[in-house]
Amino acid sequence: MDHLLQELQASQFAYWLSQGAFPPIITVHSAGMALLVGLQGMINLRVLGIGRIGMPIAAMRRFMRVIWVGFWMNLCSGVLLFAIYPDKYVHNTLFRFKIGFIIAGLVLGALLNTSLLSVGDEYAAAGTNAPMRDKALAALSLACWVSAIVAGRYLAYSTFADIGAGAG
Amino acid sequence: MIHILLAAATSAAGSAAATGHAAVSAAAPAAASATSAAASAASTATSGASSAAALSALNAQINAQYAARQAAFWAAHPILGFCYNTPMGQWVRNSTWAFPFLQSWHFIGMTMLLGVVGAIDLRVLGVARAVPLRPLHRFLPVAFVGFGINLITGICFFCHDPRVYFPNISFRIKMLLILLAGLNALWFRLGVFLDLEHWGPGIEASRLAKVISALSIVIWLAVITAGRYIAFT
Repeated sequence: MDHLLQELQASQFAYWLSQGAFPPIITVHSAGMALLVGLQGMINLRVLGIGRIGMPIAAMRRFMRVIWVGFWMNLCSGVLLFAIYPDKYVHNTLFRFKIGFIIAGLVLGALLNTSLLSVGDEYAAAGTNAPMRDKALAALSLACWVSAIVAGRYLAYSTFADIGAGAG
Repeated sequence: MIHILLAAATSAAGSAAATGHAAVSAAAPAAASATSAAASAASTATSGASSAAALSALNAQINAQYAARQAAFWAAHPILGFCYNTPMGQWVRNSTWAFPFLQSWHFIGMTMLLGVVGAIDLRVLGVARAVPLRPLHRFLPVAFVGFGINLITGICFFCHDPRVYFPNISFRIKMLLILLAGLNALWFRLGVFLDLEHWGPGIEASRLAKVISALSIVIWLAVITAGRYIAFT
């Protein structure tokens, strides 16, 4: 596995990516993040009770498709970012935490989806209050996605730690 | 800080040639002018035994030139000097962890802002038509809090080193685009807001609203792009 990653890092493809493709890739990664975490965060906030007046919970399910678009944008750009410099990530604890938070966020989102968003008429009315269990799921989901963002930011600076402040 | 970046850039340039990867850091553009000045000065120095003495003399010369340029810059831009010397600026400069901490908040604020604004724009454009539009606007305080977080963290970034941000073309474009986004939001508020009540579940918004919302999405995506390119300009 390590040998494969070494090959990838030294490959022409990785070099080509690192030359000019890096800014567009991270731009796509940021935009996907805004879509994914922003919309999922809105759904989580609604479940927690913010924006409750007049807003049916189940209707927000229609944003799930856009959330998935954001997720795929980030998965693809993330794979490319990994391919440029696998060495930086593969043994990095912070990176593993980030992936862990993302997987947890996805699982929690799926759980919320099955229990609230895709249920028939129960939560289709405007202004309904979600049960405590789902509010806990929403709060956890919010925490996981925010933690993924924070882990990602610290990851970007973890290799510059020896240079000091303001490296980015 | 510039000295550290210069040292990092020269050592990175050596190793980058071996690995073939570009030095992906803000150090590259900031230190590029300094390294090219050093390279051109070094090429005129005599080689051989006297090179060590010549190099230290060159080093002193470069440092003096640098100090003179900095003094001229601060004299010409007193407001930037004020920003540089604020406690915020000093804290961000002197602390190792302040920058990632502030950047994390900057991204969280961006997500809050663009999530809400994006949801509203997408609904106006026809995505998720089952969602009623007027209640969606009740999430706007979240967007304002996100914008506030980004404003504060952005000011902290700016004060940490105005020399990097002020002349940066991506930064200037980003500020202009944010202004445009604000004007666009004002246009939405004045032109279309009163019709929101009528656009309940399943009802399409007006063409004017769609134009304003499409513009909004384009402008905010451009803001993200300009923001990411600040480090590469």
